[in-house]
Amino acid sequence: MSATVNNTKRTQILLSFAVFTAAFQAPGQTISSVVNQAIDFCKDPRRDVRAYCKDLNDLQAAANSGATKNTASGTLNKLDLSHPAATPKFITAAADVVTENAVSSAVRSKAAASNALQEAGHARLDRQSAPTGNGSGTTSLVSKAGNPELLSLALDTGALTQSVNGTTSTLNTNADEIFRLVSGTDPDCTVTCRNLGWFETHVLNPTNISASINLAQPSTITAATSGQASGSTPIALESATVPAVAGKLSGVTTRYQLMNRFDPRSADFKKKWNDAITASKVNVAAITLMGSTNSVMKLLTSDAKTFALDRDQMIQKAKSDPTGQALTDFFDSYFSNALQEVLKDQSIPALISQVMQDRALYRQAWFNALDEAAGNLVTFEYNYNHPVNQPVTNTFKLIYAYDFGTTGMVTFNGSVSLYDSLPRGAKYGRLHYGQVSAEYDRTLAGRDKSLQSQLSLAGYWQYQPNPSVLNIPAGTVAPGTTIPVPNGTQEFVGTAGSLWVTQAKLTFKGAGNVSVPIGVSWSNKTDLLQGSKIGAQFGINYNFSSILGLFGGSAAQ
Amino acid sequence: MSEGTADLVGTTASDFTFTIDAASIPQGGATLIVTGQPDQNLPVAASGREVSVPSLPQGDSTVSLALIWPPGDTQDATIDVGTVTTGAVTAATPKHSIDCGDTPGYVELFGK
Repeated sequence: MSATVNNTKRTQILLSFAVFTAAFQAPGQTISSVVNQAIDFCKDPRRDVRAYCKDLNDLQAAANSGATKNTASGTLNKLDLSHPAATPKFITAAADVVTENAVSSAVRSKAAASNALQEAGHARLDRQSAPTGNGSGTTSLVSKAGNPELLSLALDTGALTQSVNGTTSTLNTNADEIFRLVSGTDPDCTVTCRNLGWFETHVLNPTNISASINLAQPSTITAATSGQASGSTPIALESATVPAVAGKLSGVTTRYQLMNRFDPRSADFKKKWNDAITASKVNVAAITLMGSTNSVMKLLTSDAKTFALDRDQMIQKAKSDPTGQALTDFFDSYFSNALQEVLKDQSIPALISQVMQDRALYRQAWFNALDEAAGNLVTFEYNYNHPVNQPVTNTFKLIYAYDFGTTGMVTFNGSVSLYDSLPRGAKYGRLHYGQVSAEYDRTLAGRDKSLQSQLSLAGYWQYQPNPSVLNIPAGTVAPGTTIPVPNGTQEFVGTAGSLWVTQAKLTFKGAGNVSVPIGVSWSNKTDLLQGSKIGAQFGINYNFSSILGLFGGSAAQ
Repeated sequence: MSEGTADLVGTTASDFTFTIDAASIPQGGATLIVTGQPDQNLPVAASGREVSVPSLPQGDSTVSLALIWPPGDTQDATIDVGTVTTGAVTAATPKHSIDCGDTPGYVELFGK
């Protein structure tokens, strides 16, 4: 249905079907799952044990049930590095080892994967990186439902609903991505991602945060003076205004995305999933991943022939200790010794790096398909807005988007804006305005190329019951007089009623995750001034892809 | 690898299919790998869960599968013999499986 969902919302969706599948799992469906609850190797501190925890759990369960090395041969294959079936988890464990040993190739592989992900998501129409409508420097009239995966920076100039043209710098991020970056957790899973915590699933993952700095509004502070530095005429000044910072925070926005609930076993969802696999190129990503993994597998099974798993010992250890401690200790020793030898092959790290990149791409495509099949229900947005010389407002917005696939996407917004506080004697109410708006986006050219162009057509209607309020700071001299306003005041400016804005915008998306939106707009008035206005907007947005490389001290490839 | 640990064992040059009961394989997502020989793409049935092996190589060989696991899948994919056109092929006892979520998955063959 809709591809308007940020990819980072994956665990929220997964929780929906995890709950569903848990409810429908037949009793006794997997014997090992019962044992897994008692012996959870997946929480073992050793990375190789964690990577192979499912198979170790299965083997221990089988041994506890009296299995032999012959009846457990399938599970033993998955733990034996001389067998192809052990390769996928070997890569998972080895990639971590390489990273922890500070070998830069693994860091580069993660950075490269991140870079590739950003490139893959570059064509999306649902990304929001600039501040919306009511900023003094913005290129976006309508809020989009999605956000950048990790971090984006937008520099925008030109106003849409505001009278004051400004330039803003906006930093966008996803709370869960930042949490993972800081905590160092980077789950490498798709369908098996069910062990994230409640807080990460329900709070961090669906939440995006952005902050906008108004670059054209320098701040000042008042500082005490200590004496006249020049001049023959004494001037008694006790204080002076000095510049503090070049920009000022003009708004903070938090967004929360709510996904559709779905039944993964329904025929309707299965059909959507199958369609989404093709649309999101999951099949292509899976085949690519298979190719790079096969390269590792061929080397590994060849190199590790001399390190074939001692199956008799594995079974013996498992049977000697039903808790699994002896089994995991033996496997850890086997894996560590084998890994040291395997990593002597100079070509292995580069091949693992390639697999990690292809895994990340596959994972991204998989979650894109899931987003596509499940669809976005709605996005909630809260905006704390502090415009120049106007009262602080709080805006609450609902965002809905519908994706028509290759024919484009329509996004709808509805919001109310409330004054943060009312001064004594205010002649206006708490409601600042209400607005509805819509935008149509379509990729014009270059869908699969490094340079893409996107057309956006937007319409915006805002109604405010009172004219806009302008803050007159204390000390302001009334025009035509020399009389300063002693305590400051507020004045109505502009008019009450409807504000209409239309905008046409072209966005050019180039290589390196850079996009350049250029827009022209018409409005029947602006917030402070009467009379129609034709304006232009321009921006430069950048999605950071190499942030992992920055943190790891290594540049992205 | 050996006859005792292979997922499927059969007479050399057998023409057969094998199946999995979870996940799906896209077209072009099954490759036969034999040491010392070029990789060979294998046909995948429209169901996405059946792969044709036109001629089982002698000794050890491997089929890699670009598995796509749908949301909600919790079960491993069991490897079984499908249709045997020529020769004789049997699955391991008990049947081997591919772990849920593993991509790619590997099926070990042994021709004798």
